[in-house]
Amino acid sequence: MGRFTLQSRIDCGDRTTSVALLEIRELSIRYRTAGAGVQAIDGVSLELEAGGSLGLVGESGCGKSTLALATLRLLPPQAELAGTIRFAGQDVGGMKERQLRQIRWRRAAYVPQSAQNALVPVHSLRAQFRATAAAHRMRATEADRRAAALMRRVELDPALLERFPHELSGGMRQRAIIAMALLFEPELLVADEPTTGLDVIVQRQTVNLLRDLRAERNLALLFISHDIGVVAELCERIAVLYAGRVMETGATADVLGSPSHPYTIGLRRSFPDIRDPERPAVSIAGHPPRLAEALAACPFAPRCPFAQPVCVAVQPPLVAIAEGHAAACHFAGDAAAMRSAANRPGLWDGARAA
Amino acid sequence: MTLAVEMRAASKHFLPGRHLFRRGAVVRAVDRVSFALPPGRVLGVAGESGSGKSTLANLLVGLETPSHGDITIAGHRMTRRPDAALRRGVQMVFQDPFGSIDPRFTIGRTVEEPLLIHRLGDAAERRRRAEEALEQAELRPAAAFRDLYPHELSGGQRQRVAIARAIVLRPKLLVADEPVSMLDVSVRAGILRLLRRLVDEGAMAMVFITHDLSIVGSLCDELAVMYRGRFVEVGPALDVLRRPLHPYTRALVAAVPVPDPAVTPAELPAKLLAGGAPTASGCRFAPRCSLAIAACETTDPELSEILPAHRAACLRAGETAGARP
Repeated sequence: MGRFTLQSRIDCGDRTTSVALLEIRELSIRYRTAGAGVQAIDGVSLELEAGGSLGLVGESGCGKSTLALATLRLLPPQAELAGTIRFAGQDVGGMKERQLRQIRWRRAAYVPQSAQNALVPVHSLRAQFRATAAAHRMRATEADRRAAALMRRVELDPALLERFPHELSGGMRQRAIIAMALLFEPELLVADEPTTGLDVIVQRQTVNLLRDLRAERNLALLFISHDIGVVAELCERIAVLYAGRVMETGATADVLGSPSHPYTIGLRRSFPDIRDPERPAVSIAGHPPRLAEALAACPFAPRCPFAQPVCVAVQPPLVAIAEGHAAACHFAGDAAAMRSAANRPGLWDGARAA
Repeated sequence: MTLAVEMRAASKHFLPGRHLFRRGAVVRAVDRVSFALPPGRVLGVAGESGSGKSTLANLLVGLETPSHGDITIAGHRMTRRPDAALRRGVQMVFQDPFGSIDPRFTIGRTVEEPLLIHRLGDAAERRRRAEEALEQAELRPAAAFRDLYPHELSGGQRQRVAIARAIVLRPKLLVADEPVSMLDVSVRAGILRLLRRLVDEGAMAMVFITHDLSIVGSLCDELAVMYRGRFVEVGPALDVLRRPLHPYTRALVAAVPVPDPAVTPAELPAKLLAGGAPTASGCRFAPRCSLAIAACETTDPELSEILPAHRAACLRAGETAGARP
């Protein structure tokens, strides 16, 4: 009877499914180098439901882009993966190239940071739409039809399809790339700093476009950015990465509203806010570590103004502090006190200059 | 007191290439810009790419010569070939600390380089001044940094080296072109505070060029908003941010993302995004302006004082001065 019950539960689980669109479990990624190697990602678990949005924020070198590329298995061969990545229940890590092509771009598309470099300079946009389509066995006529509709959707004149990338402005190129990413009506968009380097008005336009597209197409969004302002506008959930680990994760409103990891608290305070232009932002002294191997301590401890001896001895696990809100800090329970202490100027200056 | 820098109706026009494009119009990268800055003050210049911010910076440091108008640094007029004293008077900090520092030079050599170029002091003196500049840039102790190479430093530290190199000549004017935009957010504030402190302590003025309005308030005394080569709004930085008078400034302020998910992002008017070329005689912002009236097509407004010390080049700035941004 026990067996029956177990079996039926599994069946039930498979059918009704709360299977996440993207599920990352205990993922570690290490780059082999001539030297000691680099531990880019260390034990990260994340989930993204169909139609959901998750923002990955953190400083340069924290592993954001590595994680994004790993979801589509686009990492270079020097990268060694441990752990699992599942897309719609299927194990991406174990897929053959042929199976990957069924997912890449068709079901999960990628928008890179620099649209300038992502487009081929010597081909017209139409040629690039067609090439993308052909790589996934879509006819040129169908590609043309969809390209025109998508260009209109991203508020570009379809006549621009005959143009070359250098004839477009940065914002137009970025929107053209987004249009191309939507060619197969994917379920997931992985966008790596898609608005970085754009002017503020163009950035606003791109952010609003992504937000509207998400709503009308039930598009899930994995959004990588260092700009918590943009993430606050686009993503329901947020994960703060530091040295390849998740420091804090939860609903965007919770994480930004009551940050509970010292790193998030500092990051939040290092962001200027146009609504309060006089308030000086803080600067977190020091810089992120480059880890040759996984650390058995809190990676933020050397820069943390609240660090205690335990922080350099024991790695704090990511533990829930409220419904759907978790932080990897031994003192996450004292978050309210840390937040109020964080307003003291000078707290973050530390001993060393950044 | 001598002004650190004064620009009088300075313009820089670029002639279109004859062969590549058939007959383009003259590009007015900087168009009759005037301002004056005493020592100890910081002017922020904000605008989008293509607004002429960087050409303005190049004019100030003498990398470009103005087509019209003139520029005075600490009382000396900038000529086509500025002399060494004038060039020492104005130094620049660039955007990219990875590209602006020679990777083969030690930090000490990098900071001594301007002294070598200007043949100032002997080896011991140069070394002393370089170490002093490094300490001022908060790379302490300087002796620990002197023999390092750029690749051993973080982005923020490299930018501090670039700042030390710029101040080692004790300039009257520092021109900083987007000095924090390539740095991690967590270290930006430290660099901005450092720049402010150096201005306050060194009797130096600074022109701070940025596209990011959110960092202007805590650093700049005055703010100029640039659009298509022209200053369209100038005033005390906090006044401009809190009570923008020009519709373009209002759009820029509204477009800045706010790190608070409870705030609904601004929708921008379609006309602002669609753009269009301005008429030859009208306001250059009129084709994108939702407040434009017929007169805006025919009159090119000059900067005029709308509120105390707060000027805008907009025919309707007076009417809208009371309106919320």
